[in-house]
Amino acid sequence: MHTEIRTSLNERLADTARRGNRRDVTTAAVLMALAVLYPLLGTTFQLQLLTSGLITGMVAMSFSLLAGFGGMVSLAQMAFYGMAAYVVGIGGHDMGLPALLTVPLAVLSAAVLAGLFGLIAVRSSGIYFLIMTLALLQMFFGVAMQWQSVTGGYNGVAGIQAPEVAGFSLGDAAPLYLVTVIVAAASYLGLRWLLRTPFGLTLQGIRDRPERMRALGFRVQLHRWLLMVLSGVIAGLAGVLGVYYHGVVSPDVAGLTASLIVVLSALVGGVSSLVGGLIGGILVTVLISVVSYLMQQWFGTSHYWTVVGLIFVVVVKNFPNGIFGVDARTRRVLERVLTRWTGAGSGDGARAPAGNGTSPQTR
Amino acid sequence: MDAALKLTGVSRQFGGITAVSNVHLDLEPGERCALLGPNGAGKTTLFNLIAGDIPPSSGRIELFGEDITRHPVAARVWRGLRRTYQKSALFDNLSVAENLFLGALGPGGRGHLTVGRSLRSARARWAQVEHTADMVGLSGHLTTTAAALSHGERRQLEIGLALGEDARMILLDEPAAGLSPEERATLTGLLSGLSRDCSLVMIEHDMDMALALTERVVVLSDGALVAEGTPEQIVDDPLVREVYLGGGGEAA
Repeated sequence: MHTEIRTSLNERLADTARRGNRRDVTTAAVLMALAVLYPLLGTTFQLQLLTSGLITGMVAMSFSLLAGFGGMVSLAQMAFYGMAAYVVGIGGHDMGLPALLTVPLAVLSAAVLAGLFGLIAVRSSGIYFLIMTLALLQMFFGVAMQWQSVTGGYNGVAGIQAPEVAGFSLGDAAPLYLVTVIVAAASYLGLRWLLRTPFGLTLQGIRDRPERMRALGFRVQLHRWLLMVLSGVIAGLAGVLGVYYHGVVSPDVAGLTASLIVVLSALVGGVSSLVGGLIGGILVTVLISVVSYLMQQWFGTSHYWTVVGLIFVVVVKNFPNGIFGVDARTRRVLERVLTRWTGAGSGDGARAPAGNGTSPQTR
Repeated sequence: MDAALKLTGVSRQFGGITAVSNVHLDLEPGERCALLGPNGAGKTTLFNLIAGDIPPSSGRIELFGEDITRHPVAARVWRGLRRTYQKSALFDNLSVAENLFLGALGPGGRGHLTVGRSLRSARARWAQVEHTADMVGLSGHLTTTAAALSHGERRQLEIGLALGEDARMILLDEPAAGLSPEERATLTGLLSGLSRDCSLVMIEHDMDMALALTERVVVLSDGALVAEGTPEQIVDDPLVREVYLGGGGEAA
């Protein structure tokens, strides 16, 4: 009897994984094909907007990684982004080092900074962790602002030249867009893979019941710290892309506004999913751009934050788990609508909802 | 042979209150011991001291001959010490199999990372998960989420989490809390079936169950150890009747 259960469990697990993987691979292939082919159709402005959205989305993903899988709400992600951006700016522009050297160094520096912040921050949790990361963000801002001889102070570093990849300059919209798509997709897939390993399961356990995990012999703080370093790497990658996108880096990258846009992106996408961060980043970037354009057109003012803020209130109120972590209620409504549209017999829309939307799904 | 667990003059004060006072205890490997006492006697505090959640104010704790008084929680776990909680502390979002997987993954090393190393050994861990599920009678529920289990099954899983293959000493905090008589019988069967390679210390209010499962009973009152003996001796001890059984109550 025991063997019977064993084979059936193993088969069931393997079967589910296989089915899930096949569906995911198809979805990913379609999305990537669309994303890569987009430059053929889109305008330069649209490409730039998407690039900027994906970069914000990567930072939001690093935020969701910490919040959704580690229970750590960090406001310091833009400091890691800024660290990488400054290393590329100072190393590449001021010191004339090649990108082949500055880029790895930038990501490494972001990881080291996250590691240092983590040494202090992982000892606290909840609201204290948040306040701690806010303080660390402000420290980074202060140093960037005041260490003028190195960082250029208020003005930062400007005129940063993007390198060439395979003969295409990353200073041009389409090549930078493509590289950003590839880096974002690779980061997402890498994290998704990692979170499905025992390491990911451990992180979920630590998020839900740290004291029990300790009593099971896990090194809770070490795992938290590792997650923090990992999030630093992702934010650092975004920082490298960001500095090539903007061509400048100033203390504002680690300002409160920039950090809030990241948090909002993660919330809109849903902190319980990684891909939510990416999508949220694009949505928020596009939204800000559209709203500020319309405000300018209709009212001749650049006060777009009020409108954007209102939209966020509505989104957060109606989609508490983000538009990607749609809760069971909304899902049911959506399914009913879909079933009606596609006809009751199609079956696709009537499929039972998977998960309850509260637990992070590794997608 | 070294004692499985040896407490020498262990005390713990919280401000002016003495929760555990000068406790001496010597447990043989494989021994089953019940810890009795009225509410507030310091039983769970004593567990927390042994498990390392709080340090003792004075005294010495030895596990298999090694002084662990100042060791952190995880270091004690690596040496074979496990515990369960009075109120089930399960991973509600995860399946039974994943819960047990974490139970099997955690203890198997010393300060390991779960990256890489555990990927290679995952297959062995899953085999262990199925073995443990079998032991605690949950093999039919491996893919059920912990939140969907009945109270009795949750208590079984709570114990399953502590049953790593290298567990040598398990502290059970009221394993039968809130169980029906039938569920109690299941749990008693489960616990009596555990390997003698592993010592058990059990806080249990159900005297029948505690006395059926153990060969030694220790009684705590106001943080102090007031009686110690075989179940028969304890049931007949007039002092124990007074502090715990409330005078002339019939226990067994």
